[in-house]
Amino acid sequence: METMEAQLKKVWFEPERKSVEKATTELISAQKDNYFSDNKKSIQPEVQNTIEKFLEDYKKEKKR
Amino acid sequence: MKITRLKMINWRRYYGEHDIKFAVDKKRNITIFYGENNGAKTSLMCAIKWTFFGTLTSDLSNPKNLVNDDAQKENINKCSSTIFFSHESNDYKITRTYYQETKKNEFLLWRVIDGLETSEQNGDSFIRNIFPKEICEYFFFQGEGKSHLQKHLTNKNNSIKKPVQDILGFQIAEKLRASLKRYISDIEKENDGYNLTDKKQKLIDKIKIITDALEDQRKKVKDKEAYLETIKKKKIDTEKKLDKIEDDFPDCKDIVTKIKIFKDDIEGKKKSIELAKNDAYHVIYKYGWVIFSQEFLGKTYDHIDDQIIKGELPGDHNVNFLNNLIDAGICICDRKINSEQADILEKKKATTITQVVQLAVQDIVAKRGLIKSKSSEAPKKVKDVQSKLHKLREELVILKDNYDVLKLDNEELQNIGYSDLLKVVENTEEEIQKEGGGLKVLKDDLEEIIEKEKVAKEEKASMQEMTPKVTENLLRISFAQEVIKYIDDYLAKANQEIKGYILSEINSYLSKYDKSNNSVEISDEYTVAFSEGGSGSGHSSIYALLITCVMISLSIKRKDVKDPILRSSAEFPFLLDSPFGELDEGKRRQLPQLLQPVAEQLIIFVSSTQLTEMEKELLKEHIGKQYLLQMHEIGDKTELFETPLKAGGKSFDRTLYNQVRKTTEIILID
Repeated sequence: METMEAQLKKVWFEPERKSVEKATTELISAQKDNYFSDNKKSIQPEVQNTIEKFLEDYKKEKKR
Repeated sequence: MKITRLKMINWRRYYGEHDIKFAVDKKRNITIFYGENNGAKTSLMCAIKWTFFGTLTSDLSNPKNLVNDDAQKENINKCSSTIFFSHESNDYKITRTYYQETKKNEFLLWRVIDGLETSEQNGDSFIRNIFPKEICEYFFFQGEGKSHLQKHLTNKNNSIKKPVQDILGFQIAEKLRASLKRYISDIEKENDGYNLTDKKQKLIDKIKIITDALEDQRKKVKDKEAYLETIKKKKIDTEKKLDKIEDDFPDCKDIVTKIKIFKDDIEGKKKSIELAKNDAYHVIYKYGWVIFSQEFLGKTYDHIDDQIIKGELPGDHNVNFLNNLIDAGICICDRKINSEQADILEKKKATTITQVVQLAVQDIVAKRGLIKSKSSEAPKKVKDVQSKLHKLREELVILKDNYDVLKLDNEELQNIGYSDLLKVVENTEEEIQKEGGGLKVLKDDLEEIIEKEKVAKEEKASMQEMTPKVTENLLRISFAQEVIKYIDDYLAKANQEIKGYILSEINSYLSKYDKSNNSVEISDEYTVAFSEGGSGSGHSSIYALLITCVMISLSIKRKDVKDPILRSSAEFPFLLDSPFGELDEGKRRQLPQLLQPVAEQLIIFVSSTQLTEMEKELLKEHIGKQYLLQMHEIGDKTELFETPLKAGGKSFDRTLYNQVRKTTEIILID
């Protein structure tokens, strides 16, 4: 049975998926928007949403 | 980016309105402000910084007093500063106004197209975006060791890591990293809330204890049941043996029963006799004297009178009475008269009656009437109790006789163990009852333990239901950590790549302009080490300026960089407040060559003595505008300074006042 680490690597680091890179870019973009906004708010929901999205990807991949 | 114009109204030492135009020509891009010490040079530089960023330089004196003193005396409680600037082929105007009463300031931005000003929304965020404060700080250089970069160079690590990271635009990524760490911390707390490992282990331990206890209890129940079976079997075996005996002795049951009955009857009879005796004693006690007296009187009354009773009893009567007693062998109180007592009575015959008897006779005589009245019933009652007692005694004798017969049969049965077997059956039955009760208690306890085990197992099962949630949280943490790692790797790579560039730029400047063979080393942690080759004063100051120049040029080069993680850098005019102050003459001459190529626009604040004609000659072809910041001391005039103020090739008279306050005028030098 594959370890959790191996599964994660498969899902998050496959060259064509580049999940971590994609997530980082998305989060940086959100952080930038917030940084330059006059109405600053917590970035935490954005972080949470992005990670939940990739968690769903992981679950789908695991099912496959 | 170039600042084209600055308009101040009642700003600090600048009373009223001051309008300054800056050198913007590509070749003549330097604007110089000459001012005396304490001549409001820093105030002017601060006006630019404050207008853009709302902050002041750290060395500004009395930073809370922004509105000009003279203006305040005229009840003007606000000041403002307006800057016109061009950025990427667009013109802008910004104004920051400070309200003394509320201590608040207001910022406005306009876009200027063909002289027409259009107000823009979100001016602050626009400025933050194109001129990040944390980067632009490095464009403000203060020669007396108070500039932003010099603070990093004078700290104990002598490290420029933070400035480099500022210029590279690490801020966004660092903020994101902090957010991710907070996210991880929250998730970890959530998992800690489950405290799963510890709780689960405790529960497993608890279940084990319960299971062990359950096993132990089950064993106890099993042992008890086995023992119960053993004694039940023993009882059955014994009963079989009894059956066999009963087959051989058909009457044995009857004998055993009868023996028991007889035993009980004999005991009962003995008790009845005891009771009857008590009744007899009671009756005799009550009627004893009556009977005695009746008999006594019946036989002796005629012979007794009061006169003679004092003497001896008539011998005949005495003899007869005692003879009667001896013959009956029993006293009227029903006590047997044994041979010894009979001998005593025999000896008493024909002897003098005792004084006691005489007194008793006297008493009987005295109670003659009473004795007479009871004489009819007393003998009958005594007779009845005696008769009952006698009958009981006879019955007892018969019972004993019968019992003796049965006893023989019973002894025979005992010899073959019948009674023992019966006892065994009786004892085992008792034990079965007792052990059965014990078994019930054990079974009840067992049920309780089973219930406890069920509850603990249910709790464990519900905990296992939580496990997927915990696992998911671990995945979330893992993913967030990977993003952090990605960011860290990216930043580390950027850090490393830029180090080489900074080092080569610094040493390139040194080789061009410094003839002392000085060099600079930068460690992986960006600790700066200067070589020992330099001499003269202002050694560290020129290095600080040199590094600032490199940082600024790096920032300008990166201003259009599109990077997925790092934010782009910025370009800003290079403002220098007294950069020559601590330098010796040799280094001052290096300075113009060092400064000029750095930025598109230079704004320099100096005292006339710092920038001599010789250095100015080197900058000459790049100077576009020159201003004198002439300080006026207001008060009682006393005398002229002996030496006039020289600036821009001209002389200006100075007057010394017994001053109470100062104001500064800005004079354009042609």
